[in-house]
Amino acid sequence: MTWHESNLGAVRAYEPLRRLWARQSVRWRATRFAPLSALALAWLILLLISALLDSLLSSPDAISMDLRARLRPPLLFGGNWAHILGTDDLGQDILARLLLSVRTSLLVALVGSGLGALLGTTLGFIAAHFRGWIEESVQMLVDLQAAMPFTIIALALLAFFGNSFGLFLVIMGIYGWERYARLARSLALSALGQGYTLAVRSYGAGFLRLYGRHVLPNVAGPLIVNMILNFSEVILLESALSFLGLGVQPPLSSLGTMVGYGRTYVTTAWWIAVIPGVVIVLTVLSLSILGDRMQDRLNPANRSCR
Amino acid sequence: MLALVLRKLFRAALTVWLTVSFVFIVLRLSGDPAQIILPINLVTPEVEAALRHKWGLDQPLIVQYLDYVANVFRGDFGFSFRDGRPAVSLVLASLPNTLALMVVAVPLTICTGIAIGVLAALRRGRLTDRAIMLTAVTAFSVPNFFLGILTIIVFAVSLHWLPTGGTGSIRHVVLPVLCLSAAWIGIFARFTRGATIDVLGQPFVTGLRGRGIPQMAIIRAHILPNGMIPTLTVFGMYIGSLISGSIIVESLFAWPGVGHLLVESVFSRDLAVVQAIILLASLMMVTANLLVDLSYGWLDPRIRDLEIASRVL
Amino acid sequence: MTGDPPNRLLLAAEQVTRIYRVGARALPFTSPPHVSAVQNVTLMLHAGERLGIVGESGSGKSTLGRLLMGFDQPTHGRVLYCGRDIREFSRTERFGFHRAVQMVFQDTHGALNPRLRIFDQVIEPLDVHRLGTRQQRRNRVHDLLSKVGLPAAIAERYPAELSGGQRQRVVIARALALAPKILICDEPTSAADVSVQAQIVNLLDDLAQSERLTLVLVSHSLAVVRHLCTRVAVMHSGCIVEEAPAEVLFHEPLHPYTRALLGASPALARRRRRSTPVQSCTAISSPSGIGCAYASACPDVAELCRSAAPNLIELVPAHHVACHKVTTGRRSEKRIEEDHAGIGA
Ligand SMILES: Nc1ncnc2c1ncn2[C@@H]1O[C@H](COP(=O)(O)OP(=O)(O)O)[C@@H](O)[C@H]1O
Ligand SMILES: [Mg+2]
Repeated sequence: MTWHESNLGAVRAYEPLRRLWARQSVRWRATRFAPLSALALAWLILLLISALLDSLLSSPDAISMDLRARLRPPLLFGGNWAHILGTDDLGQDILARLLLSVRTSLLVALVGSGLGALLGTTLGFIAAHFRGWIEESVQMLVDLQAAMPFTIIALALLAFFGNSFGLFLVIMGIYGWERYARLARSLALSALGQGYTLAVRSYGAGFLRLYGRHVLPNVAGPLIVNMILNFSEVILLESALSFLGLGVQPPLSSLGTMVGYGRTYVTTAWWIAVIPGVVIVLTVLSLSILGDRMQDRLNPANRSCR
Repeated sequence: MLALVLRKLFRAALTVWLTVSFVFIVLRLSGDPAQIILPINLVTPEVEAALRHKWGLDQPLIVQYLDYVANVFRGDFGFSFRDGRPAVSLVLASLPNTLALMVVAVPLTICTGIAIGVLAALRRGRLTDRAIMLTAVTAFSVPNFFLGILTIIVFAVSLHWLPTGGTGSIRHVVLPVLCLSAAWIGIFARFTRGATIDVLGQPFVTGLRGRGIPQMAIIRAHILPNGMIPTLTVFGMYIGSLISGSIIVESLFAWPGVGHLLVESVFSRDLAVVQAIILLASLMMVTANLLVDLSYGWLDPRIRDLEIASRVL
Repeated sequence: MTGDPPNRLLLAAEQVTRIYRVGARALPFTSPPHVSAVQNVTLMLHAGERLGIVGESGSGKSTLGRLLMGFDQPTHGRVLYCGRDIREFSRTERFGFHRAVQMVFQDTHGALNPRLRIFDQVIEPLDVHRLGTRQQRRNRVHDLLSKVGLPAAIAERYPAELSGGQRQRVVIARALALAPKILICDEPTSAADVSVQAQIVNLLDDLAQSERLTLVLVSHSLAVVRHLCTRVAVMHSGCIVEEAPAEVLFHEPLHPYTRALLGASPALARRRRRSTPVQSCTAISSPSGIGCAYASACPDVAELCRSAAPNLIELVPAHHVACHKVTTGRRSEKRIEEDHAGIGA
């Protein structure tokens, strides 16, 4: 139950919004079968499969320009079957670009949240294990990270250091680490109070064995929920930065880049911006709903009437 | 209590200082400002040296840093590389525009969010509740740049009801405010709903109902004040996030505020202005959090104790 | 495993105190409220011995056990293993210490990792210490399981699929994997029901003999301690108030707290009915420093008890007690010298 450190309504300031948000989890459906969650899951699976298939079938520069078919609207809005989702001003098929962008966005989100999970969980475990000044300094870093205007600083860093995909990934990873750290620390502290971790320590097992083999598998649930939430946040941040032209750079393209590109054409070809935008919304929404559901599953006793 | 306030003040100041120092050092490491701002073909070495000297760029980094900190305390944030005006005056000139948006957006967000949240809690489990909560989650999932583009397409391009951007009339305010508020209305609604459900479940509310006191009176006198405490944290985050939120909205709607200035300065690598804006945003976040922290203790002494306990255990 | 000569001093606590902070400081730079979970305890453990530590809940037994295991560091004093401070161990020495001193935990505290098969948990100490080949380790696991009376098939199961008694046996098997010299058991039976308790006690009894273990048995059950132990220390509010060979302590308890405890123990109540009920008196409730911690509940409290804390004094050879009343009574009879400072000297 330590996942909810303080259920008394006494939430600390600085506590990350997403975790608070998750704590308010809404029960979408009391029964086993939850149509909304099923839809959400279906959407994510579809996205994943299409990104995987696409990376098998095509290469980034394979999108042909068809200058005779520029700015064609999507199928249901006067277009034809040749370009189901329409084309952009260079006559590139929106669907083909979309698949490429989904691939990039998912990759960035995966690497970003993975990096954050690795860094944060490790630091959280280290803080719980060593206590003392090490714990204090980790907590100070966590508080600092939570209290600084990270988006703005990320913006400045990306602009000043120029377009480097590596730096971008690192920033995405740093974005969420402090929630993992906070969570991992409190989970590890509760696990360390249990006999099995004492036993493992009593025969002299090292840090890696203790935390990798014993603590982590036992506290993975909340960390995974956090990862789902963080994943959607990274998608949002990535697309916002890319929208401004500071994130994913050409020749790569992400969902945010596409929306930013389409911004110029809002008066003439709305679909260029709207289609990738809808994909972002559906993805983040699906992740939110699934996160809620998992949260509910993890803690059946927790405010089950919600 | 005084010790608590002092400690929190100290931590807040420390946070701002660390943020500012971190940004200063990292941004200086990104490259030589003189190289960036001078047009390459026109520069003679003498001009460059003169400029370096003028901006103190010929000093070692640590000296520059100490100078910078000392100047910040005097209210001097350096000069914009772009037009040579003091960074402070640039920021101060655009601040009123940002504040104008916020003056509309903040009350709107809070009132709407709380009202919807209470409504959902009262209709808990029913269709109204589900619809409100689904809308809230959706609103939270729409990135504001996309909401901006959608509203421009619908209300400006197709319907011609509102302008696509710029300033001048009250009609120019509508879309930016909507984009700033939508996600946070969703967040406030969700939190208020949770808090209200908590209060509704408490025995004293049932007692009041049993005595036939009208619903609205109970809501006004008991549910709102008690339910507000958890929502306070969200409020702190909301205020803290206003500047980052305004970045995209202002640049999308060509609204000449701080966010707009930030994007322009960032692209032209206008170091002094960027640093000043980061300091401003950091101050706002920290102050908001500090106020929230302190008002917790003021609203509910129990939480003060709990806070102490949670720090120790 | 080298055969230690009997009576060799293995593990010793020297005037060990462990103070926990239990709240925030009221103001900066003032001292925060604290509790002495263990207060100035001196204790010797000789090879082949079976030491029982009894006392009510909250008297500091588990803390003492943790200190002896090196899980927790004393605030004052030190813990010695074979004459060396365990905090000053080198890496290899610490590894040796881990092999020699093992602990059996109460099952209710989740002593087994719910996510690993029994086999993986019992073999892990052998893996950590790289003892033998893979095949030898496997065989050793099956040996250990049969030693504690479990069928080999259990190795493939998860803890949740076992009964409480079986889990406790697994915990014992895991603790024995490294062939330790000393086994510290913290309330090994308190989670089990009565019939299982008896089985576990008998198992520990047998194992202590066959494996030549030195036992430390932490328990609030006097019956268990009486059955298993050769020497007993009684703890109250973090202090040892009486320590004696088991037979002596149970037949001739000196400290009023021990007497109350014996009277309150259901299994032993038949023999002694006259005593007062035990009043709960944990470390927190006693104001630190002044007087005997048991004074507020003691039936024969005297003036001196409220003003000065009694020292643990060896009244009769091997029988130590910390009580003004008892010592002054005996002293007038036997004229024992004033400055018997305690058993540690
Ligand atoms: N980690 C700790 N932090 C603070 N107080 C503790 C801690 N561990 C034990 N205590 C306190 O020390 C006293 C002794 O506890 P313990 O050794 O568990 O007693 P026992 O095992 O005899 O029941 C108790 O008052 C307990 O509250
Ligand atoms: Mg105990």
